[in-house]
Amino acid sequence: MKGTAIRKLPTGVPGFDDVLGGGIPEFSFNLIAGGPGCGKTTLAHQIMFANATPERKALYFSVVGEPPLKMLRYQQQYSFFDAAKVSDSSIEFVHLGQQALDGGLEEVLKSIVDKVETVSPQLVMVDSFRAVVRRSHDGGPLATLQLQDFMQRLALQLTSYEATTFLLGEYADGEQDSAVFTVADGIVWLHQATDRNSVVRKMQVIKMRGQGQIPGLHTMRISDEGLGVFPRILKPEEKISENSLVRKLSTGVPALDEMMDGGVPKGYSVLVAGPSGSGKTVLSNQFILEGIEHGEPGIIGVFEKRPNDYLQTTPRGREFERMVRDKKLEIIYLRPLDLSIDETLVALREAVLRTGAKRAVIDSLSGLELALAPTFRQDFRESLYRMIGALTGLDLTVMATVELADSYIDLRFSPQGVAFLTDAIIVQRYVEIDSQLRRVMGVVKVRASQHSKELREYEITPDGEFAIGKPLRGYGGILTGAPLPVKAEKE
Amino acid sequence: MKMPSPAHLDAANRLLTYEGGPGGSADESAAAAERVYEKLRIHFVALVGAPGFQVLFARSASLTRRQFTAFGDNAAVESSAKLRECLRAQEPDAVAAMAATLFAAFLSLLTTFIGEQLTTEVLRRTWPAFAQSAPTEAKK
Repeated sequence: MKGTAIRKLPTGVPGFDDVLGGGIPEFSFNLIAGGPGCGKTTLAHQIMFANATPERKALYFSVVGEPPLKMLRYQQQYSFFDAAKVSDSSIEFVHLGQQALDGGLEEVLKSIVDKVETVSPQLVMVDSFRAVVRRSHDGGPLATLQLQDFMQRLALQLTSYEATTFLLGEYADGEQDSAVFTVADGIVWLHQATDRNSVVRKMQVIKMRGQGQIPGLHTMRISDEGLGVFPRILKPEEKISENSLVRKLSTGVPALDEMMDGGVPKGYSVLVAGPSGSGKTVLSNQFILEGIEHGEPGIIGVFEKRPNDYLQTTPRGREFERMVRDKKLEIIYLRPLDLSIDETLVALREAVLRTGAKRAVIDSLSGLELALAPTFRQDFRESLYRMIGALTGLDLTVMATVELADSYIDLRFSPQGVAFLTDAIIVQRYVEIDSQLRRVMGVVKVRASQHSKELREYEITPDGEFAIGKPLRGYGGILTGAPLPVKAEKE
Repeated sequence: MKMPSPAHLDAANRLLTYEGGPGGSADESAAAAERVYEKLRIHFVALVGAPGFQVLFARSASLTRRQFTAFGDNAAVESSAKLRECLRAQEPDAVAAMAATLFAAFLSLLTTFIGEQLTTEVLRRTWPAFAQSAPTEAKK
């Protein structure tokens, strides 16, 4: 037998519905908790403006907190604020400060119920109910019982009026309040995590009865549009799909395709590691151009230059400009220094959906790491693991560049030890031969392929082409940066 | 805050006109002001709360006194009846101008706090004729 279907209300907060498992269950009784300035009031307003209509109104009760006059002033700075919904009474603000002063919890409850009965709203917000509780109780055992009784009566009353309710309360991180937490159907906790000079907003759905939410702490940002949540996307389940090795994509450099045993297997992630100026961006440009010329749109995530600077300085900038205009290529610039991987992923995923991209370039992982908030840099490997998984899960073939410090005493492929996360590695190096600085490259790894083991010279041509030459034979110790001629063995 | 702008003064005069003043006797102007106040109270208390409404009117009274020193103290704007009494006690020639200045100051403060759009929307719902006339400020 089929059970009761619970309708889910959209929150109007990008990404939040995904985190909740589809939206807010209708007629649920929820708590939005967090410290001061964490975005509780803005979140409640955004939900309210997304749902309120003249037929299905919303009531916003403020108790001792921000008076409506100031709330209206600040909330209308966000683009979701719709003055028409306030003036036509789709949304009504009710201040219960006097009732709280005069009669405490009982008087507040009565006023809420009276107003709800008159208006029959679909949404009810009570901000900030904890102020009433503090005013009315000293925190003893009797007070806890009275509070629980108040909460249960409030929850019951509002549910019976078919209202979806949100209580907004100031709670310190980790604070327990069983009287409220037990009664609530849903608990959403907002945090502000401080690390050195950066602050990152995070959201956690601790509980949402009747539906599966995405667990964990999700990054959140407050902008002129209001709140946006960037779900902590877990690596998609491995699914048996087309064998990547069946279709190999050209890098746009025939000699490199040959070295890679026919090209980059579709859906692979390729790391291009090399020192500054070695031509990583040039190679990645060629990879993108080759795709677009064969009907595969592309995206490039840049973290060090603005898109205009990137287009002006990259050798194939003019071709890129045309492709951007033709919507075959999108260049995404993300450099706020308090980024999360999830926010980056949301931006990349949206670009993939807009362009239908099949190839992606991340230029560079070193820039991305710098753009991340310090708190996420500590987990860079884990973040990258999730990002690469999510991008290849979108059916993309990914090329990421990484800056390598010139070191000739060891052979490393990435400063963060992330090379093992990728399916293929191309390494570039400078070597000194006959008082000349020359470039060599090699394919270190291509999973499940018989790739070349040669180190070959290459040049960047004046036209911005990545031109691979012959293997550098007759030298030993190439990777030390100062190779020496190998004497032919006597027969 | 500076004194209300000509646009707000014009808007205030229009609200008084919709309610039967100015242009009539001092008594008629005071009665019109009472009705304007009452309608503003009903619609804006729902929006900004009773304390918010009172605070804005008290400040408006204070601003009005800068121009009309004889205008009563803040108690005169605690209710529509008190406002009417206050205005009736004034020089007949000044009643209409005082009332217009008071409401213009109130509209100006509202615009500062809750914005032009929301203020105008509520005024249009309260006085549908207001919808046909120009907004209180130049359109952005």
